[in-house]
This record gives sequence, structure tokens and C-alpha cells, in this order.
Amino acid sequence: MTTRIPWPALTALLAFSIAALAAAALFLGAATTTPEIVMSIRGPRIALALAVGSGLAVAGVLMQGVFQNPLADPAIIGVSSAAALGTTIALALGLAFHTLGAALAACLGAGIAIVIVVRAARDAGRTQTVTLLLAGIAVAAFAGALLTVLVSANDAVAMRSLTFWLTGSLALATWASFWTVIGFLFLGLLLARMVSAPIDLLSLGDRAAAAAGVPVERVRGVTMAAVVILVAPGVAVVGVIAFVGLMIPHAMRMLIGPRNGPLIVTSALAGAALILAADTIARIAVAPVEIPIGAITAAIGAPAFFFLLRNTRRMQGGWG
Amino acid sequence: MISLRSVTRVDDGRTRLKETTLEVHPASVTTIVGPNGAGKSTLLSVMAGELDPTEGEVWIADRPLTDYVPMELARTRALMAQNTQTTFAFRVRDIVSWGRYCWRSTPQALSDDERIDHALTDQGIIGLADRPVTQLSGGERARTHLARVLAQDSSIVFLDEADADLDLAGRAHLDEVILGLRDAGRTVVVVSHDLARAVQVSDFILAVQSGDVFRHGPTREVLTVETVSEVFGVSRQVAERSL
Repeated sequence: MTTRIPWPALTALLAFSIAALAAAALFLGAATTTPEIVMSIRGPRIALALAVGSGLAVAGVLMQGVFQNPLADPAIIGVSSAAALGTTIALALGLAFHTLGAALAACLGAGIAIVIVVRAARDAGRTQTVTLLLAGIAVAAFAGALLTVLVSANDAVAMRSLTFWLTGSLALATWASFWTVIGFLFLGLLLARMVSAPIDLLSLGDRAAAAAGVPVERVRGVTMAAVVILVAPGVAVVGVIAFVGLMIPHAMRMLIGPRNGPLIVTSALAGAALILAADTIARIAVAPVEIPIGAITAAIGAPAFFFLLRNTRRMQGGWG
Repeated sequence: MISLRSVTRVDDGRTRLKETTLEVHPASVTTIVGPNGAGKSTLLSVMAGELDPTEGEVWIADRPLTDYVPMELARTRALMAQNTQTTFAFRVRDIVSWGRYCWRSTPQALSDDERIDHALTDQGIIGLADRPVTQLSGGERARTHLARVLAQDSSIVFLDEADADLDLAGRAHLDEVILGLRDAGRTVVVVSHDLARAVQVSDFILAVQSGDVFRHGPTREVLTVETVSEVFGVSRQVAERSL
């Protein structure tokens, strides 16, 4: 793929698509569309969809850059499940007053998970693809198991079902949850902007990047923090939505090339557009019943993951 | 310029470098030679600030290495290792521009584009500037990374077996670059297994043997049949043929 499109053009196109999608989403749905429904139900839902989608996609860019691995995604490596577990524990303990408490608990869970997975997967300055994915599966399974127990056994958390946590839903969106998520998103994007240039250099491997002046461990630390901040608060309010962080950065990389600065900008917009589109479909496809949004992203994302898996394995010459 | 002051480096209980004191001659080419496991790469990594000494200090210019922050160190010394790979399909120009990373927010950053163009032209790859690195041949890729290291514009350049995966033309080109750097007043430190080429391009030789600097001096004085056979543990005939 030598023909790449200029990223400002793609940015403009994506921004326009989001505006059009949002306008459509505001008026799509039940026959009676009153100003109240638009402002207090659909408004926050659309805004939250955009914020959550941006966070997931940018987290994907950062993880793939820092692990030098196109298969990294917050849900696949267990970070999202751990965030859901963190929130659920806080709910069970009665600590999740306001969405801010829930978001902080999610950050704590996600932070612990990312440290465990990274410690497990790094060896001699490289991240082993197989170990990364397997450690992620283990962390996700463990978090999922505890989550199931908590949701089944505790009344305080039962208002949010297991399906909500594991496949995600924007049905409970409020303006309060949106403001919490957008606050963290802003902070996460700021950190992402700080590390975008040095992450480019990590493509050389740790040794050459360090020799070129990159403080490798510090960049990696800031990036992990950014991933946690971008993903966990979203999970706290909408549950786990998988594969967005995998698909979007990869698609953007194919369109505009691998530089992380432009990738972050375009992925933030494309992730927002994807989640908004998926949520609108989830909402109206078989109304009045809602499809879990995670089912829609997984239906598109799982084949994409499979395709990437084959490519990665071919490039690494097999995994034995 | 670069000086080691009774430097010892121990890895997992193994002494890789012991109580070494030496000074690298500035504006010259020094090649580190020695058998496998003698500690050549350890010595280079300690000099370049990649590995911290277990004991002792390394100084570059007028300060110990521990005083440098990564960007500042990168402005002082560059490193080229063998077979550097890039994970994603970055363009040649992007990769060369990374050599300028350490000059961000300094006045020198104003000349970034000029220096990148210059490095690309020097390496004869200006025509490939917009190509993804994944589409290059091995030789073109090596030139891309050389251009990156040269764009870093540091007064010291380390080459850690940078010739290992180069063919004959690639090695000849690398030697030209090394001599060009020296003529421009840069200090070049090389680790190489190729003694015959070391004789051609080096001003000084550091011969190491099991963590010790066995000899350090002008090339003609060190790379003799006697020293080579002793350092590498080979017969005089083998030593003669390798020079």
C-alpha cells in the first residue's frame, strides 16, 4: 500500500461523517420524538458514544505502538474486563457514589491488569505476541469470573446485568456519566499527544530508540497510564466493548501510514464514529429490543482480528 | 573525549569487564576486536551509556555519563547496531527524521529538514524518501539507518557489528562513511569481527580478552600476528590469513 491519503483530508472527512451521524442519530428511533427525549436521553447517549469510541480507539493506537504489536487491544488483553471488575467491586462495597468513583475504581482495576500483562509478556526488550495474548486471556478470564460471582451474589450491583458488563450498553447514558468520561478522555488524549513522537521511535526496538534519545521506560509508563485513563472510565459507564481498539487503528494505519501523531487524531474520530454508528444500529435495528453494542463490534471485529492474526504470524515466521 | 575510570561490569555474577581504565582517542576510528564472549559488546555498551558500570565511572567530554539525560546523551553519541528492524511500514524519510528526535526544542531543530535531506542525499537514497521501509532491499534499509544515525549529528558514533549483515558493497560503503566521519572530526568506535577491514579503517585498536583490555594502541602496533594469535587463541597461520 504505497498510496496513502493525506491525514488532514481524512480528518475532515471523519469530522463531517460524525456530524452527519450525530444529527441522524438524534432523530432516529421511537416514533414520538419530543425535545425531552432528544435532550435528556439521546443527547447524552450520542455524546457518550463519541467519547467512549475515541478513548477505545486511541488506547488501541497507543498499545499497538508501545507493544510493537498490531494485535493489542484493551479488551483482548484483559484491561477492559479488569476495569469492569474494579467498578463492580466498588459498587458492591458501596463506594461508587457518582460516576467519578466508579471511574476511579475502574482505573485501579485496569491499571493492575495492564501491569500484570506487560510484566508477563515482556522479554529481552521485546513483547512476545503469544505471551501477550495468553496473559490477556488469563487476566480477562479471572476478572470475568470474579465479575460473574459479584453480579450473581450481590444486590447492590445487580441493577447492571452480566450482559451489560460483558457486551456493553449505552442505554444507561446520562449527562453526568458523559462529563466524567470526557474529563478523563481529555487527560488521556493530552498524555497520548505527549508520547506520540517517541512511540514512533519505539518501532526501532528499545535499544535503538534509547540510543536516539527516547527515555524508553518513562514513555512506556506514560503510555500505559494513558491507556488506563482512556479505557477504564468508559468501561465503568458502558461496560466492555471489544475490538474497537483493534480495528480502528489498523484501518487508519492502512489509510494514512503508521505515524502515531496523525493516527491518534484520525483514530479518535473514527472510533467515535464507529461506536455512534454501532449504538444507533443497536438501538433501532430490532426496536424496541436493544442489541448489546459489543455484539455488533465483535461481529465486525472478530473477523478483522483473525485476518490480523494470520498476517502477524506470517510476518513473524510462525509461532511454533 | 570518552574515558573509562576503573570500570567493572558484572552480569549475573559474571564479570564482563574488569577494572578497565582507558581513554578513546578523539577524532579517530577505534575498533574493538576480540573473540566471542570476550566482552566487546559490553565494553561498547558501557562506553555508550547503555549499560551502567557496576563500579567505576564513564566520562564523555567533561562530565560523567550519569549526568546526562537521554536526549542530551543522544546529541553527543549515536549508535548503529546490526540489522535494525522497524515494526510498522514507516517511510524512509520518517525513519531518518528520528535521528533529529534528540534535537527537539533546541535551536538546531530549525535545520532538521535540511539535515534530513542531506543525510538522504549522502546515502544515495533521496529517491526512496517516500517509500515504506518494508519495500526496501537489505542494503537500502542499512543505508536508511545509516542516514538516520548521521542525521543525529553527534560527535561520537558507535557501530556495534553494524557490518554483520552487509554484503561486500555494503561494507565498502560503511567504511567510506566511517572515514568520512573521522575526517569531519568525529570520534568513531566500532565493534567488528572483520580484522582485515579493521586494519584498513582504524587508527586505534582495542583488543579485549575475557573482560580485560589486552592491548590498546595504534592499529599497526596492535594488529600483529603475535597479538592476534594470542588474543583469539589461534595459530600464527590463521592470524596471518585474517589480517
